[in-house]
Amino acid sequence: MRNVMIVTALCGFATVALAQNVAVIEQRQQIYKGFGEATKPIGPMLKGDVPFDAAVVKKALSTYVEGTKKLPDLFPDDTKTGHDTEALPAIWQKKDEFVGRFKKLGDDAQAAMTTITDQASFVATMPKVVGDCAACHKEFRAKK
Amino acid sequence: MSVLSRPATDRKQVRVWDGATRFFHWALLILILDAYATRNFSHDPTLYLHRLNGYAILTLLLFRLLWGLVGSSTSRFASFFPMPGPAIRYGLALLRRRPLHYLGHNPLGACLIFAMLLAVAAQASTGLFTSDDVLAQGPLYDHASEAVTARASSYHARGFWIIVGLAAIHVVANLVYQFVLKDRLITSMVTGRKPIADYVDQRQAQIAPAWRAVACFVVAAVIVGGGVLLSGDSLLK
Repeated sequence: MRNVMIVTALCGFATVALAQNVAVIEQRQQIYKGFGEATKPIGPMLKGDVPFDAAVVKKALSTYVEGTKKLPDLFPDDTKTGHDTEALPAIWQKKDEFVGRFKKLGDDAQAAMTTITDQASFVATMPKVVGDCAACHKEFRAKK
Repeated sequence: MSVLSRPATDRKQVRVWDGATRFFHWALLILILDAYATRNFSHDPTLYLHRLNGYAILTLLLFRLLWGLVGSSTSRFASFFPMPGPAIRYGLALLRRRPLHYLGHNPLGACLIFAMLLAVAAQASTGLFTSDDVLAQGPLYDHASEAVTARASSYHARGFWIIVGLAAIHVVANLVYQFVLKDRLITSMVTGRKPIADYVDQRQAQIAPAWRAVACFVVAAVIVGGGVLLSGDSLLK
């Protein structure tokens, strides 16, 4: 009986410890999903499969700028696990560096809005901006 | 000469690996290193060179598959198909430092060769279905279900290290043969020749004509290149 009580108590603690802020995880996942959707048409444009479209590029860049303003606040300590999050513990171990990644992407995207005027400047500048995405995933996002 | 003695450092040599097989070997090594480099040190978000590198590896592998059927005797899969019994017996003899001498792949080495070929094939083919979730994606990514692409991407992100592990065993084993057992396997993969000896598998390789190797390469390149183009992807960007 005593064992049962101990186990029950431990389960209780475990539940408390695992209670995660699902709403916030969902919020950041929505932002990343938006990034993904905004970025999708960029690939064919970079390869030259579809012609340069300033409006599509501007939309992607402003999506990054807006999103990176919100993202730094969407990784509180109670969102480390749960809701299929792909966030790695490194985010909380190197919080400053992690938040710096958002600033870099936001700054690069903001600068690109004025730099990119045509196909040539797009091809020259855009890879650097989306390169910020992959670089951050590599360090802070779980591999599937 | 006894089969248990070391191969003589006789001036007389016999053919063991044809030019196409040696080209395959060293080209594959370079392309595998380049696959790592183009993935990890590139600033191109579409990973064009990495994809192109993958197509080249697939072409080499397909060539090797054909060459394993119609190539020179030592390169044919039938001459070194992995079998547990012979592999274990050979391994035990090796531990007593009394291995039988093989001209081509020995039964234990054959297992490793097949494992490496399969690992590289798995890596190259999963790459076709892989995306980094930003802008890089294989040519078949859009043509497969999410269940397939998720598993392929997952494997592709890790499979390289399986290749590295197997290749490490391969390199150590070859260094041991070359410098400890004095069976110059590394030299033979460069020169294509080995000293005359009482090899238990073949006395010398039956070398297939070069035109046949070229034909196999052309067939492999057409299948890979054609497949990529049919998928709607381009080889130029």
